[in-house]
Amino acid sequence: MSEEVAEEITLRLKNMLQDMEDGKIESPPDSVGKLLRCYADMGKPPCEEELDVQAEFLQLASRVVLNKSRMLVPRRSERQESDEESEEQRSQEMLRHLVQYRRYREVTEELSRRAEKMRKRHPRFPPEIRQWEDALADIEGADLSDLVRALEQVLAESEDQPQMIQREQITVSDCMESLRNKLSRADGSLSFDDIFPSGAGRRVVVVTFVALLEMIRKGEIRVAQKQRFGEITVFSSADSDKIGQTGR
Amino acid sequence: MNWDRHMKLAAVEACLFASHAPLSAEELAEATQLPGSEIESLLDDLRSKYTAPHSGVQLLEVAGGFQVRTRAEYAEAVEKILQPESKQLSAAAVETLALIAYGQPITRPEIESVRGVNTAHLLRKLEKDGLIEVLGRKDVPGRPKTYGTTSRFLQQFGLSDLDELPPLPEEMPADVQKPAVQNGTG
Repeated sequence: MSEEVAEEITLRLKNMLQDMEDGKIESPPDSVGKLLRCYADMGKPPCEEELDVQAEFLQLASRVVLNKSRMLVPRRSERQESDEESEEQRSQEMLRHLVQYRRYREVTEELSRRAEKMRKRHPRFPPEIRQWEDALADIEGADLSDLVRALEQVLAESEDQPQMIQREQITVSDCMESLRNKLSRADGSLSFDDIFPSGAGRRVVVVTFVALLEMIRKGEIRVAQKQRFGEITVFSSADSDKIGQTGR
Repeated sequence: MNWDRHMKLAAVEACLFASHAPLSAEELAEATQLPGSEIESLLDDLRSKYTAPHSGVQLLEVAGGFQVRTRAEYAEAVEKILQPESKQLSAAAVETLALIAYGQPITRPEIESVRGVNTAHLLRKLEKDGLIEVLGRKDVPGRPKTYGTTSRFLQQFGLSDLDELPPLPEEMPADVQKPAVQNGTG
């Protein structure tokens, strides 16, 4: 190590520390790290005599670094100012929201008055739309819960049959067409279980059931049940004279 | 059609009576095969006819169309016949609708920033009731849905269009910055 250089660095650090402690330096000096790196780069391991010098240097350097790091942290008064600033910003934001809210509250009252006025002026009601439930009132001896129970049985059976998983492309209208064909082939009546293709997956079962409901709604088919929990029979409406023959 | 003025008026009246939804002047013109300008004048005549004090109905301009509705004075009697479900909106619902009506297209976080409470459930209900609809998604992180009001909203509040919304009060105090929800009917 060049003793002259080491002394020069030590001197500069001492001066810097003095200036820091006297408040002559306001911003953290960038040269601290550079000086310390220079000192380290010169280094051969210190001999015993030099240990005191080295220790003194380390003490000096650590005080300079401590002072620099203190300078980097905002001073207490600055922190307080910053907190006060954000507090003020929060208050401003809250005030802004309150003002916004109040503006909308005022129009809300006006709109409520308008709505109340309109509520007393009745328009013509829309014509009643025939829903499935209404259509299902035509079911002979069976209600919707009977149909759902029968569907659950078919679904339970469909689960027992392992099969390749594949996406089934099927529409309600396809199923309606298939059901019409089946009824026609079966002389106009089928048991509930027979309307579902054998080995049908859940999707086919559900879509076929929706097709059945749709055909009931349209009046194309009717269903009848001989007795509670008995077999449900599906009839083509054209063959509804057969309903009586089921014993209903 | 070879109709005299009284018959034309009767035809327009019949169309309005038969329809449960507001009919625009164009729809009435198409249905009656009468020119649009004549429809306007016939609607004026019809309005005068219903303005008579002994009339139980009135002609209202709502949701961009015309609709015959019963007079509010006879609501009690009418409700005994119709037994309508109570559809009175809560203050929170009207407040949310106001924010949507003035700020559309508007996102849920924007609504909540003004109301200060969660509006997820309310928005679902208003959407289910057909008073608001999803207009799209805002191009910001998270791509939140944007909402707007529907024709049903206009009908429920007796508005012909969004320009008829009551004006928003001026912002006070003056030093308050730009609002989070922009005015305008979008």
